Amino acid sequence: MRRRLSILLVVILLPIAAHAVWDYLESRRFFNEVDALRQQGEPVSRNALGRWQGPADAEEMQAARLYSAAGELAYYDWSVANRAAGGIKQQPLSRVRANFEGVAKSRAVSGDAVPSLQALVDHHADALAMADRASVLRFSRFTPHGFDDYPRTYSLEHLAEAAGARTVLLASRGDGDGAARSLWSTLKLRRAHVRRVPWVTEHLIDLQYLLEHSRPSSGLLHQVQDAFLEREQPNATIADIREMRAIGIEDVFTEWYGPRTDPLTPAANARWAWQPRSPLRPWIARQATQSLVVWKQAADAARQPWPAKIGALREIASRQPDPSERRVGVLAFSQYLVRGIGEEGVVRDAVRLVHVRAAQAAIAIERCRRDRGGAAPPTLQELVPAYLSSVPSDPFTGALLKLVVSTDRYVVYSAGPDQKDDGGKVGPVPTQIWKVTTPDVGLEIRLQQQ
Amino acid sequence: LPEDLLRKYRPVGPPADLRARVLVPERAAWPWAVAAAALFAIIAGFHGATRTLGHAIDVARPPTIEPATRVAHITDELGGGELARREATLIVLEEEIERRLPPVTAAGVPRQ
Repeated sequence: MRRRLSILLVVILLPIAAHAVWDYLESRRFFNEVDALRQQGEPVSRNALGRWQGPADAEEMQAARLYSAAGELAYYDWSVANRAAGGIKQQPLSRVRANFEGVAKSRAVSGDAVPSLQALVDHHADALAMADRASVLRFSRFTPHGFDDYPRTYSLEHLAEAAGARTVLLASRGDGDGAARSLWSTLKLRRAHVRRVPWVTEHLIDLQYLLEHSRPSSGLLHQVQDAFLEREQPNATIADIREMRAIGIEDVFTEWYGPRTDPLTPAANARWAWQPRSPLRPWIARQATQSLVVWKQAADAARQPWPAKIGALREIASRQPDPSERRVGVLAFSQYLVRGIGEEGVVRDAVRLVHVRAAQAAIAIERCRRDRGGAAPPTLQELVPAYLSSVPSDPFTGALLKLVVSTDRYVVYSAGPDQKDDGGKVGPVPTQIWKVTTPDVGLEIRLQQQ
Repeated sequence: LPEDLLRKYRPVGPPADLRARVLVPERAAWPWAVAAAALFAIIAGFHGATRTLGHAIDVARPPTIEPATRVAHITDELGGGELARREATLIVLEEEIERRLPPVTAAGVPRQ
């Protein structure tokens, strides 16, 4: 009887032991890879990304508090008040964007759009005032308990749209200096956004309208130009990859290896603490290890200079399975993200770079025109060094950005993702930069009479 | 007669190997018990070893601010006063509700 019992025990324990060994070996492989990354100085957790570090000094703390309060207020206005019975009817962001699309296409604020834009500005007056106060302060990050998440970023996005509406309205009333100050404050407000959020635009419509419909002072234009310069993030793609990889590593660890420490559910934590993790863990660890290989390839590609990184990331992305195949697991999730970075993210980063560089060039041209009695320079090289430190390069081709000047307009542009120069066919400024739909990418300014 | 019938049959003893077959000594259980114990040790050992992996990943979080303290902070940030306090209370209430909801994805973007 004891013998049979022992045999039965062995039969039961044998697969469990095999699983434990497999689990250990796969987990060790994964964590060895993670350790290697950490030794290379790569972040492998949110903490390593500095997510929980507070502002460096009192000035940054004050800016963080003001932006946080502005965002909280905008969030409250946008969500809570909307839901409250009899509350203030807030415009959906889509309608605001539709108004901006109208401005971008017609280069004018229609009579229908004015009340809508004005209502948005009035409604966010307090939050905008807080953002304006923060704009003159140094700011790098929120407090550890702050604001760094998607719902709140969405509310700051709403606030940035309101700030854009304010710029357009001020410019339409001929208050060029007020509009320039508003645009400058809006660009500073963008410091508080999670940059990776794909719908963040670079306020080219505001700038276009400002330059075409008002005449701000040269000094203020210079300040706006510098604010656009600060928005340049040529290494955004590699930053995204490092951040998403670190978050993914931490999530695998906390979900499959770490302690259950959700502060809101201590009873559940205690119950879960004694439950073994899923038998799937070795499979998950194996997938996580494989996903680190994919991330490494993506990181190596993203470290290449423009425009080589576009082709390299696209090539890697093309090797990843289509998200519609509905695979499951860590590897599938990583492949989905890498595909997003490769096919859309890197192009979006390049478009964003073109936009901020074209904006700087356009402002430099405007300042130059002021000094030359209204004549636009025939080339961007003429702006260097008096109005522009150097001619910005085109991330899509590696060459310099191009300029086309005619009697009634000028266009600063890049050849765009197809790398083909179509002579500056940039179309209206897009309200979102998910995908490029025009032959070239850039900014067209219709000339005002000086 | 019954005697005649009985004479036809003669009782025989059990087969000679019956004793050996029945009284064979039981095979030992201890090798299996040892194997089971070894497997148990392997399971415990490898599970323990796996638990030590990855602990260098720093996932410590700052302590959560009490809602009352957060309300006070936001009230202060909103400029103080009764209206600000009421607004701050609503904001914190909204946050708490949101935190207690299961993780959601908005427009396919995972919440972090």
